[in-house]
Amino acid sequence: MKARSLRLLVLLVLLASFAAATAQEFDWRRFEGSEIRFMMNRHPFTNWLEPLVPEFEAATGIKVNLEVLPEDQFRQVRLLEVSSGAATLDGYMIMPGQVSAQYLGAGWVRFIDDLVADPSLTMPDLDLDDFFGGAIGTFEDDGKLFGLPLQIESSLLFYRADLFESAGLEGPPETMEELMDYAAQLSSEFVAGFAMRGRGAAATSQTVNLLYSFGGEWLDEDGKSALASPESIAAHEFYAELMRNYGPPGPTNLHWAEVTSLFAQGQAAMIFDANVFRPIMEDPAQAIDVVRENTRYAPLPAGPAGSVPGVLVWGLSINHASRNVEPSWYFIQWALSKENQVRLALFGVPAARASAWANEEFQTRAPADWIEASQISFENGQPYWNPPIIPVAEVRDAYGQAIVAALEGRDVAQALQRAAQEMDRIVERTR
Amino acid sequence: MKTASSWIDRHARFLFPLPAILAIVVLIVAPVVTNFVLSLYDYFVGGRAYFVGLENYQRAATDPRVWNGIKNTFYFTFTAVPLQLLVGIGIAVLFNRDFPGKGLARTIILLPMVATPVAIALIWALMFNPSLGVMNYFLETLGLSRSLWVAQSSLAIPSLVLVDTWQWSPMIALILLAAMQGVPTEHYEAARIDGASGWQSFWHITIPGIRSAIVVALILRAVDALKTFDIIYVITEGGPGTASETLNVLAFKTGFTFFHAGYAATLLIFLMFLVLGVAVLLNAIRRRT
Repeated sequence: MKARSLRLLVLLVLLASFAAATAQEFDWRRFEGSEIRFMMNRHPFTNWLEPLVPEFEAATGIKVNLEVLPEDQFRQVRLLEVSSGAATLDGYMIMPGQVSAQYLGAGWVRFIDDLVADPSLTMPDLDLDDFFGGAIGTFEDDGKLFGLPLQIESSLLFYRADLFESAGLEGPPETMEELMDYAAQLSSEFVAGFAMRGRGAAATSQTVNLLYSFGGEWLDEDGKSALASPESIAAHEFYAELMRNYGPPGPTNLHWAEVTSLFAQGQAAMIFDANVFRPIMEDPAQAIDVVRENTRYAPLPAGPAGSVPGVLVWGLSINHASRNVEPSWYFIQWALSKENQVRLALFGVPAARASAWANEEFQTRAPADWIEASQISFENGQPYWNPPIIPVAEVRDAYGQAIVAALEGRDVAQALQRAAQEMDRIVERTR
Repeated sequence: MKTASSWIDRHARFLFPLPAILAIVVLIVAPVVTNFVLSLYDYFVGGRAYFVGLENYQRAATDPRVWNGIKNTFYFTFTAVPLQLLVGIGIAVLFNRDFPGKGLARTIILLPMVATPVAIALIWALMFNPSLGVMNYFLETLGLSRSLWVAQSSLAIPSLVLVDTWQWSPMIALILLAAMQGVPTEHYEAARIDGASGWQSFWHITIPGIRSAIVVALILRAVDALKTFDIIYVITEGGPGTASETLNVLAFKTGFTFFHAGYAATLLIFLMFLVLGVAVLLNAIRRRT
């Protein structure tokens, strides 16, 4: 009797472990019949993804509803839905550099470490190490992951090889002093030596590259604004001198569209803006011939603290209130798989996986110097291209006022002092 | 059936205006009241709403950016509207006489008014570009020096006034033209017989004849100009810095970019009283004339 029950027990244990073993196999069809809803920004990634969703639905039996909104409305509606805690939203696109302070602070993100650790829920070749350090780093909070990156971008120096040659300059400027010196030599009555954004709040995503490279930071050790630090003042005085002396007329009007148009129309010898604008310089409808033939790319020149570009990362996260966590995780894994990141890269979006950049076909599609300069930036990248606080937009606006003041020739230190005070006031006021 | 219809008959004076009253309550009263209630809260969208009483009003009254916004709102409105009135009168006079192709020309000058404001604004933004824009090309063709247009703080509002004038003068012209056609031709004939010059008959017959239409056009335009949003937001976003930031643009940024819903509601109450004040003032002038 005893022996028999023991045998039965052994059998049961064996059966149970067999069942566990089969359950541990990752199975794409495990959540067949479920339905998920993701909120997306009208971004090139979304344009690429939409027509491919039926592939995922056919492979998994999970129905996906994508709700796509233009960026401004997307941010507003996402904020309302996520903060409401409604379970109707399962996941969303997110740019952690913009909202992570708010989303983490409020506990609105669903950490995914438990999912990643479970081999029955995570595909075998997810390979987290394949994502660029600067990309996946933005999704880490205290060593825990709250999403995966889908694209990474960074700003590069675009320059004209022909103008460099006729000015007797060899290769791109490697330091900030060289940048100033080259800009002086390249600027003429018809061509600006250098251009970058200057339009208040919109310029801050670019001037932050100078801030970091001059050794500046957003916040000091006490969490107060560090915009008026000596490093920051040096960075912005450099910026003002560069733009006022060698920039195009009316620098306070420059957004990315103006900056890239100036370069595409041959009116600027060097510009500094996002690497994703390369297609403009290759498009016969937008760029003149001499620009199409002579555009070269280099990483941000090094300042006193080195070359520290900000990286801008979009990714996908699961909503904290979702009741369909596993199917949502399936969708994210599929959308950001190695194969799909290659397809995304070939579609023209800078993928977040190193393997996509190593793809041979992709390498033939983009100039080697652009690929190399981009990759260097992604590895050195600083994910906080926005201040790590909650009221980001309002602080960018206050900082933008200082940028305009600097470009209009007013006292840089004073303008930054005011911006720093305003920044602290704004943070204090937001509760 | 009979009782029902007699009930309706007896209460017709309440029942018939009911749909209109409902529409006013739902579309005007409710939002204004909600907005007022919101203005009593410190509400950062995504966070909690804290009741703060009139604190937002105190803050707004001492906020230099709000005063800058009010100043810009008046600067914009009181440069744009008189200018549009002059151009509008000019166009109306021109179209009040016969010439070949008049119908076609009249349709064409109405185009700026019916086009989508955001599309117009995007095109003007391109035209104003100091390096690539066509406006500087025109200036140079005329032998004038280049301008920075909206890229220079002191020129930002005048440039926007130019766009607004281009867009809205036709509306004033349309209103005044209708009024001019109502001025009896006998008056002009009598004046001509008495030897009045064209200028005299314009000044002493046309203008008095269309005075009330001018005031109506002024009220409509002024109220609208105080609330201008699309062209300012698209062309300058209130910049450079805050050089062209009107109260309306500031309220939008506060609410939809900075996410401070309570404070934005407060600014909109300010704007409402501002518009109301100007409308009442202009109306008083109209009654006196």
